[in-house]
Amino acid sequence: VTRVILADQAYRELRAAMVEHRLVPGAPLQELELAAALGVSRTPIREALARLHLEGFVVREGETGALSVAQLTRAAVEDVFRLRITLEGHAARLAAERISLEELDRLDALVVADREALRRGDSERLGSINLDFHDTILRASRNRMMGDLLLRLRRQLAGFTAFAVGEMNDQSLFVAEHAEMARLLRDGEVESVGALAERHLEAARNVLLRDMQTTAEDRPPTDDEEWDDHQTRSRPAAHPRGSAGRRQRP
Amino acid sequence: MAVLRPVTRAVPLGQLAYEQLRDALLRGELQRGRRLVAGELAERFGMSRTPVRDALQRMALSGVIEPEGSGFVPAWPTRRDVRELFELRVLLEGQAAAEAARQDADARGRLVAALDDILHRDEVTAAQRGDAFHVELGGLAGGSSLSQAVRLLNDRILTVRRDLSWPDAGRGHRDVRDAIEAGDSDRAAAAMRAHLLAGVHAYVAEVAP
Repeated sequence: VTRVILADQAYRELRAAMVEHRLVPGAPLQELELAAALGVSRTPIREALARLHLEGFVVREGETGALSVAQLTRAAVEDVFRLRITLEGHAARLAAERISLEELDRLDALVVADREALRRGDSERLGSINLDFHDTILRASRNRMMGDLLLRLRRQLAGFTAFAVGEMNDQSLFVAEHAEMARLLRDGEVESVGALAERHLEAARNVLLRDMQTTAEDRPPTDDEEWDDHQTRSRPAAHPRGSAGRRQRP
Repeated sequence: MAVLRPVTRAVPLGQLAYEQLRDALLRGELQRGRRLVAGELAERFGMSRTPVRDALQRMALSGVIEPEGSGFVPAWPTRRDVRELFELRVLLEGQAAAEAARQDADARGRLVAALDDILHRDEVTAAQRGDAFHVELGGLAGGSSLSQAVRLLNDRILTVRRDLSWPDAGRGHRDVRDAIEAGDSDRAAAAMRAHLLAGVHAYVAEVAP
């Protein structure tokens, strides 16, 4: 049990260090060095690194097997989103055939909450509603493996970087698209909802890429935002840019 | 002495252990309920325990094996798992086949040669050929998310793949290969989907409900 806890703690600490750029992209990761720094043996470090590698936070050099912190590049964002668009589009199509009445009501309630949060300019709330909304559709696809794959992809992006920093008009669009998706799912419009889910994700990717471009020069590499399927946290005070409605990502 | 390989390895030992374990599962040598213990496997593969432990960890993370007591046992998919896995394989491998067919002639030629090499291996089982074919095709985008996903989906059916390659599987593989050679992406995707949809029935009939 202790071994599992140590590995888990090592995983959390290393992941946090990468997200906060205490370990910068490209930095070499050596078991012995990390074990000494974290005050544990090599075994939990090895397990933590294996997990981080699987999640895409850590990359392995082909020839030598040496590990290092993954870089977030435009190519990586495009690569991850290409698969996310395929999967979430498919999930929406399956959901249109399989979704329950309770889930449809849940989506409607989330759309109401979405509008309320948008009106108040509450980005954090928008972020958590967004995850809830997409997870509900994912569950409604009745394919657990799909959820598994998408979770890996989301983590991959989350680990790499500062995130889609949508402006107010991006957020209004995302909220309007959520409402439209909820309606199409209720009407069982398989093709339309699939196509809309794909466009929705494309828009998110474009916001993310635009943000990478505009912040490459003016933002210090210390962003510590993180999201996974349960939380969104941020540190607005440390952010050099304006703070109207932001940090929303479908 | 030409028969000796250099001591420095191109493939890390952990990776080697992973491949050996994968192969043993594919060949059906590790039966259902069989406990996988690092020490015993290390002896069998002729290496130390550390790389074997790494390989077991990795397999557990991708769901190929599951923890039991202080060791692991092979995970066995249910019918529902198989249906879900194939639903995604049809989607993603259809896309991978289409992308393979869209490459330029040189790249297609190299891929077709690699696929032919796999399809003509007769020292291996049909299950090993099938697995190698799908992983090779999915991996053509080297390290992309799509290739990782294809690999993961194929890993999840490792334990039930065995010789469950249905009678028409060989023809399905050749249809996909021919469409890629011809550079016809629509046909490649359609052939892959048809092949996988035929396969799902064979798998569903074989695994427990």
